[in-house]
Amino acid sequence: MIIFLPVIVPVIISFLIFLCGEKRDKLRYIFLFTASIFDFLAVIFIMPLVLKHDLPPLILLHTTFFDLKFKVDILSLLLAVVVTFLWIVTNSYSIGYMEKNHSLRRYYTALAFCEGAVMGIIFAADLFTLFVFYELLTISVFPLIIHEETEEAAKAGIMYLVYTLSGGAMILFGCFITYALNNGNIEFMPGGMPGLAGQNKIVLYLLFILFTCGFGVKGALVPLHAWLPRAMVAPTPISALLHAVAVVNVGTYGLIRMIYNIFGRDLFLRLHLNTILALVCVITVLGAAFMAFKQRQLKKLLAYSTVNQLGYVVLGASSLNYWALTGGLVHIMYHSIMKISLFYAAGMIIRFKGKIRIPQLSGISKEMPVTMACFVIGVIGIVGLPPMAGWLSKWNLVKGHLLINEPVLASVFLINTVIEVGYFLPPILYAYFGVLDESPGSSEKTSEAPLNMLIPLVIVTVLSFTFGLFGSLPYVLSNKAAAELLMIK
Amino acid sequence: MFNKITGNIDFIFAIILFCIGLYGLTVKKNLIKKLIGLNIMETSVYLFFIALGDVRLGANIQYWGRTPIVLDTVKARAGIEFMVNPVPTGLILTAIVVSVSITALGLALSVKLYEHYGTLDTSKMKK
Amino acid sequence: MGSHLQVLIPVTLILGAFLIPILERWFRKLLEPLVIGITFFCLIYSCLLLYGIYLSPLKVFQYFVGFSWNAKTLLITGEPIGIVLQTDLIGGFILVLINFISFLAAIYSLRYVPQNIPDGKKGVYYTLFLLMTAGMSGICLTGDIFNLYVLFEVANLSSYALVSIDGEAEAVEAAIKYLLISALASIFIFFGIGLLYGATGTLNMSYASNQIRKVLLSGHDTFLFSYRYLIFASLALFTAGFGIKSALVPVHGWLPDAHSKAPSPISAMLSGLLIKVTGIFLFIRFYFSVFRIQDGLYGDMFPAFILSIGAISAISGSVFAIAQKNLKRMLAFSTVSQMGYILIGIGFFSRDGLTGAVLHLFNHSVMKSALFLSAGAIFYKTKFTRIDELKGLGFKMPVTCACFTIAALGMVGIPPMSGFFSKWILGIAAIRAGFLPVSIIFLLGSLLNAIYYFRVIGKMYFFNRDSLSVPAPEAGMRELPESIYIPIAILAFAVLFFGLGSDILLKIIRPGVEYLWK
Repeated sequence: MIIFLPVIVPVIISFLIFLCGEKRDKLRYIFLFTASIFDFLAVIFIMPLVLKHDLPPLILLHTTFFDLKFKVDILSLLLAVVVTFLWIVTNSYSIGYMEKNHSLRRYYTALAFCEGAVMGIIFAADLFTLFVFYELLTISVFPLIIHEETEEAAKAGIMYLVYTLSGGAMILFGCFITYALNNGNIEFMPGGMPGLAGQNKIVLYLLFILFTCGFGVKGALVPLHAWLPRAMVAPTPISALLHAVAVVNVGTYGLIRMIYNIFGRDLFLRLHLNTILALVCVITVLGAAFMAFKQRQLKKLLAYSTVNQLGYVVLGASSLNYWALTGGLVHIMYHSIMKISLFYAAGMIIRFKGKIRIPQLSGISKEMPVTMACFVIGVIGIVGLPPMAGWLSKWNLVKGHLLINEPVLASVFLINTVIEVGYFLPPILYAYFGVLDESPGSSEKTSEAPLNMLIPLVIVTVLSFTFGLFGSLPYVLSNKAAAELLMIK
Repeated sequence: MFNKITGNIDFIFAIILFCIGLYGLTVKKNLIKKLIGLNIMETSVYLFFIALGDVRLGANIQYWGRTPIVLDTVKARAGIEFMVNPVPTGLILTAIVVSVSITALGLALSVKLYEHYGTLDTSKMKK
Repeated sequence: MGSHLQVLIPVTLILGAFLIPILERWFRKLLEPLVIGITFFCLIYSCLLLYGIYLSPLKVFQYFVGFSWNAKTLLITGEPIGIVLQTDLIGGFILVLINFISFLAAIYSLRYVPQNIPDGKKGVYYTLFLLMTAGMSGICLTGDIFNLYVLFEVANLSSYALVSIDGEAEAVEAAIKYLLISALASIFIFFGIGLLYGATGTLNMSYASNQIRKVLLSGHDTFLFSYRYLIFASLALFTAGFGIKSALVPVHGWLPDAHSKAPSPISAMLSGLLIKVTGIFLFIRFYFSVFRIQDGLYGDMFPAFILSIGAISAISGSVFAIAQKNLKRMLAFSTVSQMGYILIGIGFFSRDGLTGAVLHLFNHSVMKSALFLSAGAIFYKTKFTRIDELKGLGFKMPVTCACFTIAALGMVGIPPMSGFFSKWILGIAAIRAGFLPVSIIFLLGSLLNAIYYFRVIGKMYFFNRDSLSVPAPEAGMRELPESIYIPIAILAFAVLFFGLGSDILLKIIRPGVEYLWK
């Protein structure tokens, strides 16, 4: 039952938040933190059990047509730690950011509900359970995206729905095909589903396309990424949490599950699917990098950078190599932490200075020194320079790809580093060397954001620093997860 | 062959009536004509049912003309081998009631429409 | 084994229907309490009946009306005579559904009817309402084909009159269109019954099914004539008749007008119940209990034909719905597409397919009733019927719009609403029956559903609230009377509950489906 609690508690609490009404702020925030802290503690509690393989799967519902089944392996644990931890931080940030905003009941209800849905996806033991929570997440994110209730937000929301619902339908069809091929068993298997091995190649390619497109929508692979930058009209905590952490990571999580637990390593290799997926990833990485150059809005720049970095993760996963996979998995965590710090910083600039476009950032470092410092540290991490966390994952990715004799793919990471430096330079240059514009509202004095927003930012920045310097928990977890996925003892 | 046709003349006539009624119901524009077509169709089915119970056919057809509600012992006592099956007749009495109520409702609705549009032609009703 | 409840339910409803004109004349205040009481007791009765059938070893109740039937009389006559009420689990299940929805619709009518229907017609309204419920309940209970036809006509006739009850020209026009097409369907069915009677010599369903089997296996063929052709012809006529009644796509034309012009509680009854009981349920009854197509004596083409009709309806119904501007019309077209899904489930002629079909029948009934009742509540409060007018209504009528959203998400097939689970089961049934490509229909249909339902939801919630087209309600004024929003809330809760709780329903449906295969 301990597996199911992190899923159901946020859902129940979201109803409680809904019942709180629009006015009772304090009670609502207490509920909000209860849910997220409970989830984090629960995940920490089950961590040793999972590492010892001591946690039996939980069958919540069993019928002739579907099971509702949960299981935690090390990969799920890795994601769960990231998501639950960052959720607490984001809740704190959110409270500051959304102060005196409208429709807070809807906002926080959806926010708490999303956590339950994400945990459901991560802990799902079979495709059916995963799909149920996947669609729940799709729907519960929608009110957050259109929170501003402007015409632009409505359009972004509709675009989001079109993309994700079509993706959902593809996954559902994929589930049906898997069900047919694997004799009615759609549970994730270590080493892939046995029923798929001897099947018709065309059907398997179709299955691959369906799952790649389905999960690729949320994972923002390049031809399917268009909703992500548009969804940046959402309030920044949402952009940060859902579009840098929860939703996109769920997409990549789905892709990893597809590679290792549906197809399985051997079948994947035999059908040359790893090459196809790697190609898509290269297009994702480089395409997003070039598109990021064109962006004039800070948040959209960050969105494209997210697309870019997610390409790394999937590229690492598609390599089927231990080191590259470790790099990819650890990059899920590092990237989330670093990207969330960038989003937090950008959000503070938008919320308190009203500056959205990059040229407006001129001289902002004098007004918000801490924020900008964190931003710079985040950028160094994202670009992948030592000693920041991003360096560790990138090192592993390059190493892995060199080990499997793919120097071209390895060089993609290096090329991308250069491009990244290129597109992250303008905001930093403007911030530190630009002249502060003389508009009446601005002053030379430092005016940082309130503490309940600044502290989360500093926490995540410090974390990204520590993780880079000391081979720590995430790295160990990713190592174990990679070994588990590749079935290396 | 000819024997088949004469032997089944009731059924053939029922089917011809059915088609006439179907024509009236689907092709005619006037609501009253449509309702007449409906009634012709109903009548054709009555004819079909009544013919099923006919005693003349009883000899050479497996089930028709059988009267399960009259026990064989009763028939033997009366010295009758075949008798008209009363079941279809009973059914048709019920069906006529149903048909009359449909027609009545249809006519009532037609009157309402005539009051509103001043015509019974369905093609002229929608502006 | 039988139960007096089988005869008590329709008789109570019919007696109630005849009491109402008297009450209207002398005790007007008792009118509504009587209707609600009757529908409530029928709901309790039908639940008891279903429970009884569920516990009985044979999973069927037989009740002999007007004669006693024992082994001795059977020996003499060789076949059952008189009317048998034969209720299996699926019939009982649908019976509970009918009485559940009609109970809620009766509560809803309390306040809706005085506002929207001319005062003098209240008694007529409730009489017809109860007669329609009686007819539908009877259809689920009976085991005699002619009895079924009469009850079918009782339900239909009441529905024609109910569509036109407010006396407006548009409604009357819709009603007469509905009447003419539907009467055509009932004549087809009547003719089909005639052919069936000619071929088998009986009107008892289980006995007729034995006779049909005998005829099909015997190969009693002559040069021009065979009983087999009679059976095929009657099957074709039944398919055409029930196809018209369940508004499958080439013959769906009557439905959108009739269902959108009727008063909202009646729309909910028509779309949620009547179309299913007189269409889909009779498909199940005749295909599985009488003709026994699941035994495979009719070749492969017939299932393929049913599947393709279902697929065409499922897709094109949704496509038509996208083009609609009127909310209730859109909902009506959505019904057409959902009928297609259910027919696909039947068309597999497998246990899983039928389970999915019955479950989807139930779920769709609940969801569509919730949608129509919400549309009615919106009309009650604001007189809005067009989709564009709903801008920002979610802030003014939160309960109604939340229920509408829940039901609409169910229609789209978003978990954990109940609609998703029945679609999943239908998809699994497609795979198990070896029709994997058919499951694409469900996905495509879901996406099309998403287009038009999300358009409405988007209008309701996601607009700048300064540009609302709804006037702000006066201070202290409630959203709606309780009697209007409580039925909607119950239905919305059912949509949520029977998602993950569909296990409970499957426990009833599975043995019912198994019974049909015996």
